[in-house]
Amino acid sequence: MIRTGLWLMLWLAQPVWGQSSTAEDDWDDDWGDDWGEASPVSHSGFLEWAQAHRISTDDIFSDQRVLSEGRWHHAFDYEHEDFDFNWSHDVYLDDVLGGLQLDLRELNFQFSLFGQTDVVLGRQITTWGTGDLLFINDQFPKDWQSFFAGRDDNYLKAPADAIRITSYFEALNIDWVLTPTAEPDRFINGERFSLFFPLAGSQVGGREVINPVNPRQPEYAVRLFKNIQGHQLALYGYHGIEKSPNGINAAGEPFFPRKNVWGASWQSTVGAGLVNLELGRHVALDDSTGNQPLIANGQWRLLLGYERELVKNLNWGMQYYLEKTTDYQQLMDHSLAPEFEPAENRHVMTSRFTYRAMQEKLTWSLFVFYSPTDDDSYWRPSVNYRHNDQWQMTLGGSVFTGQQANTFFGQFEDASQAYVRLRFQY
Amino acid sequence: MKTILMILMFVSAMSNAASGTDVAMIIERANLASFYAGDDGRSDARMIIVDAKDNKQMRQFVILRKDLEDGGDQRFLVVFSRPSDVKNTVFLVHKKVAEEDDRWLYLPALDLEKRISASDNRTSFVGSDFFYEDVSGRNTGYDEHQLVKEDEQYFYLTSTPKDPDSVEFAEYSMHIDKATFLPMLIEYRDQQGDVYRRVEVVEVADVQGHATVMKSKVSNLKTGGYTLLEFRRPAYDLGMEDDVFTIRSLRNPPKNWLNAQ
Repeated sequence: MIRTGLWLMLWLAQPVWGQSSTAEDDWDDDWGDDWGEASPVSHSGFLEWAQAHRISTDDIFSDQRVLSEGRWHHAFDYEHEDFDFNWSHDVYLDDVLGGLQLDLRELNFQFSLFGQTDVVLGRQITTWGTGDLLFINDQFPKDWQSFFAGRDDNYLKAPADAIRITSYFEALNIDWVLTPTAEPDRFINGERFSLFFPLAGSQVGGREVINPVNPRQPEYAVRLFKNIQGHQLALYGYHGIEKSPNGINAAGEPFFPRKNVWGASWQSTVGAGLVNLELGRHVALDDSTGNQPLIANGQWRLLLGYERELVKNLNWGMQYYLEKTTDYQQLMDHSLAPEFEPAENRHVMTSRFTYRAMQEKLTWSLFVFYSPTDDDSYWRPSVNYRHNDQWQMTLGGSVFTGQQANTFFGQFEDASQAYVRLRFQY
Repeated sequence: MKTILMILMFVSAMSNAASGTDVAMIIERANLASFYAGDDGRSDARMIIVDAKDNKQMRQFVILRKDLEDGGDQRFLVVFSRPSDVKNTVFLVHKKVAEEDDRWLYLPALDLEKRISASDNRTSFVGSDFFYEDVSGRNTGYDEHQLVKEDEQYFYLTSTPKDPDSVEFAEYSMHIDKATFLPMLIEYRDQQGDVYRRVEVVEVADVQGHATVMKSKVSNLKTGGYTLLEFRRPAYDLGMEDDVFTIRSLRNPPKNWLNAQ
């Protein structure tokens, strides 16, 4: 079936190969007049074929592929004078977990009120905060399965059914996001990748081993922000859930403990570079004193980042990130498996290199997470070749290293994989 | 004989002094004509990027601009509509003459409002043969300018960089139209004196009294690739508010200015 998908892509792409023209008629014929009157309706999307295979073997799985799919992404937008309607979905044939899947990415109306307020109502993707692949105050859903499996980086963000209201005032801008039914992350649940389960003291997976009680409560997120002469300041608040089910209830079922987050960030240029600082206090509402062994403790999270162009076309960014577990003594005193608890202060450094060549047709990228505390790391190399506006190819990998089976990245050592993606966009 | 020589030297010195002011004036007017027409402006824009093998790519966008001061700081908002992987991508620039620009990029698939660090202005603008500097202007103070000659139609200038290590060219020459002050041809030379890059104005139209480049072409003579840039429906002095160029426009670009006026 996947092979059929690839042939379908090649067939659809025929007209692209067929086109030819000479330089002289570039100004007229090729450009046509189709940009004359903008249509209120637009369609766009892509077909993608992707394969990813484990570099080593995870004995829990009989199939060492982590990704084998043919994907159709389509976006439909309707632009009215008073509102926009956005629809986008992915339909993909998943040869690893099996079956045809539908992922509705966007289904929303966007409009403005009172001149200074923008509203997005419906299914949408939301992002804020200053971190690069590190999140302190962004509690919107993320798709870690896609991120680990080698899908496009765009799939790290998962959609939620929500209402977002952003108001812009002289003094301050205010951003509200209400999600009536909390939308958790698409967390690692054992299906595609195995994970370390502290209570068993071993790696589990091969099927959906983490099947939590679905959250029913709403999520509230707020951001106050302002740009003062290039200094971007923000305050954040969140009331909702842990986005991964890192609690176990009295019935022995995994669940999403309640959580508050309070934080702040600053971002500005410093010389030729860009500096960001972000802080957040994560409050575990179901474990406020830290003595519940089956519910994760609260944390302080801190992030300091710097980014700049090193030489022409080569960008470099680095981040220092700290997770400080609160009530740590209480945690250790009550823990059922203290040897597997994270360190009180977990330090992580990240580095990102991006190099663009061939007039931005070729992009080399390397993102590395390294934790000196856990002595583990996560490497994300990739190279993307953009042949033209229709065809793109990406080769990459996702490589975890670790000394211990229980650390954050170390537990995914057997999830290390290499991937290839071929995309035809229209 | 001595007297004649003295007179010649004097005249020569005078004309050098005169051309010194002329050059500054020409460069100033060329900068204003190219990048500061009106107090604000909008235009549809389209690029065709053609490589040596005749592979073509397209970029289509609307560009909005507001000047804070003629020849000084500016605001730009660029909203892409094609190809589909950059559709609804928005680029906001607070251009500053005296310090680094503030730049933001909005990536709609991630809803990511990304502050971006300053980059070399002589790198490709969205994958085309145009550089950022070709689109938003090169600081006139970065180069020494010299008026080489003039005829009925053009001023012929040659410019050399004050900091040669910061750029890839050894010098560039311009043909500046005497009537409009638009540089109609710019040729960049390398250390060997060979022209390797050419920017040509192909078509100019009068828009609300401003001579406006409607079509231009950049050729990379080393690779054989080139980019065509065409503007449509330009309009000036629309009375754009300052808040068109704020972070709000990343997620909600101002429809009234994006549409043709």
